[in-house]
Amino acid sequence: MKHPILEGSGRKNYVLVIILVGGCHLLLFKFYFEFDFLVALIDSLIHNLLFGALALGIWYIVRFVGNDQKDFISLISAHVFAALIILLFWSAQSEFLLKIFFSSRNDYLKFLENTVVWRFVIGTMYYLMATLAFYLIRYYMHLQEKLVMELELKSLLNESELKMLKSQINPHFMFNSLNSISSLTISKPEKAQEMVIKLSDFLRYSIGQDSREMNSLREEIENAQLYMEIEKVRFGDKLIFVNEVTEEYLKIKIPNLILQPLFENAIKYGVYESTETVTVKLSSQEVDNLLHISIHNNFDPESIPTSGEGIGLENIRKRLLLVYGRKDLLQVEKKKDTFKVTLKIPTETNSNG
Amino acid sequence: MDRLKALIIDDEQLAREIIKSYLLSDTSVELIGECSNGFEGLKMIQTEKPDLVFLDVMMPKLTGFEMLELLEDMPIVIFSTAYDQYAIKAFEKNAVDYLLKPYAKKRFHEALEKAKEKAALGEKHELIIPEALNANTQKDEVLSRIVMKTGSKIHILSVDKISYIEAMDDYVKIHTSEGKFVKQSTMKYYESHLSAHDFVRIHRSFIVRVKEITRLEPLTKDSYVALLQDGTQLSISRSGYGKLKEVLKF
Repeated sequence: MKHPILEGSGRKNYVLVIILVGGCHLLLFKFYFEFDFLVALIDSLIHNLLFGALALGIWYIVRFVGNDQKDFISLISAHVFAALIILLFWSAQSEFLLKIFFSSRNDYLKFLENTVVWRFVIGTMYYLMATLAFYLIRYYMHLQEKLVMELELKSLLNESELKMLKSQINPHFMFNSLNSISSLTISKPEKAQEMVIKLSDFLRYSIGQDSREMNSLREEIENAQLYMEIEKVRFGDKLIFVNEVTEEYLKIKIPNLILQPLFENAIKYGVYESTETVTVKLSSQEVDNLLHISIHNNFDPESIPTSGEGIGLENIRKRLLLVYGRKDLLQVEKKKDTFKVTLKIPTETNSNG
Repeated sequence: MDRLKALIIDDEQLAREIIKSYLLSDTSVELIGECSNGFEGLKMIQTEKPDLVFLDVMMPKLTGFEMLELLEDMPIVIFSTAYDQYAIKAFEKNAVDYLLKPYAKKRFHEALEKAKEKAALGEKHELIIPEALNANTQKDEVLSRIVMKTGSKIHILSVDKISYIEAMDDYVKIHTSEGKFVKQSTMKYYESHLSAHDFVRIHRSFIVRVKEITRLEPLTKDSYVALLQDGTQLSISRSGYGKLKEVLKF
């Protein structure tokens, strides 16, 4: 949090308050205590400007001490200590300066000596007022920050949810698969039935899932496998799928429907654009409490994709950010003719997930 | 009447098979071949000269639309695709038909009948693809590649390699880091299908990649010349100067 007066927008108001208090001070001295104007002005200036400057420091106590509420004693003692230091310094320094200014005005010097206690009382009041004001400002700033954060999170959530829904089932994948089924009903009816069942299972998994839920890696891989088998019916020998994930990781929870879009990506830029065989390989590895799940595919280096890359990957990055609060959990490596995407799933917090 | 020679171009075997099985019952059509990508399709059309082509859109190497762009003698074309976003209505005026996968046998034969009627008329099939229907120009999308033919060679050019495009009557000359290419197209087409962020039409005759410009020099009182990295000088019109100002924010 920035200092609301030194770095923030409160500077103008702060100066206004000082002028107002200083003006009252001046009027009181001129008309009630009946000093001449010069004395009233200088007394007011020195006292109020000095306090105004010292009070800026109170912000740091408000800001940094006792934020966790339990620590009430340290908060009070910090304030008492700060108030003492500020008041002592303030009264001593202003007395010192005023004595230099008015060394020959005995009536004023006498007044100054007689009002030490009163100045302390007024100073304490000023301190309390400044502290109260700073607490209000802090509360307000907290509220604003919270609102902004909530808004950001909300938009992020809505956006990714929306995009996810769109990318979940690609209509072209659906219609091409249905066309394959249509073709199989003529040539190989049993195969057609097999494919209808696969497609149904895939749809059930994809449609029936709440986007915030977690699933085991096993379920995610099974679903991705269904997807790959359906694509294999379409592309035949052109597509090879290798699964090298080891048994020990299969129980780990990962955000649901996060694997399939990566396979779809591999198919789109690998198989769709290539006339050669494309191998898609899934592998796993644990590094520093992170489960690395990698999808690796080769592609035709001469192909120039007809549509832009990266929107799907960006969605996945966002989802990982939403779930784990980290930005570094998706890694993309593009080499001359291979493409590798690695998901990094934190395993520490996984047991309760 | 001779039998109609037909060719199937589709990257999925099952999609080709269903067309084959639909064709079985019709003895007036002779299937002369199958191709699994745009390149093969292009060669086959040029050597075998089919009367009728069943054509998929999204395929490796060349899309169906890109392949048609490279053909001189147009066969009768029936599209067979899962993509419906190419403004079918406008399209139907030029291609014989547009089948959306999956389609019924009855629907397929309707399309085939239309093709036969057209073949019986025996006219030249000028297939003019409306620019809005080019495979690469789906709604709001900008071109990422351009296909060209130089002699018998086919070149697929990434737009990233274009430095500037020059108008030449009914053609455009595309200057790239891989050489110069001439293509039958219009400046207007490229102006609206290249990223407005990267390319600016600075003159009636020039569209230039903004990053290629190294300097702008005044020529007369209110006209300028753009100097490119390779030393080329291109004149800038007054409206072009305004557009450059907007993109470069000076």
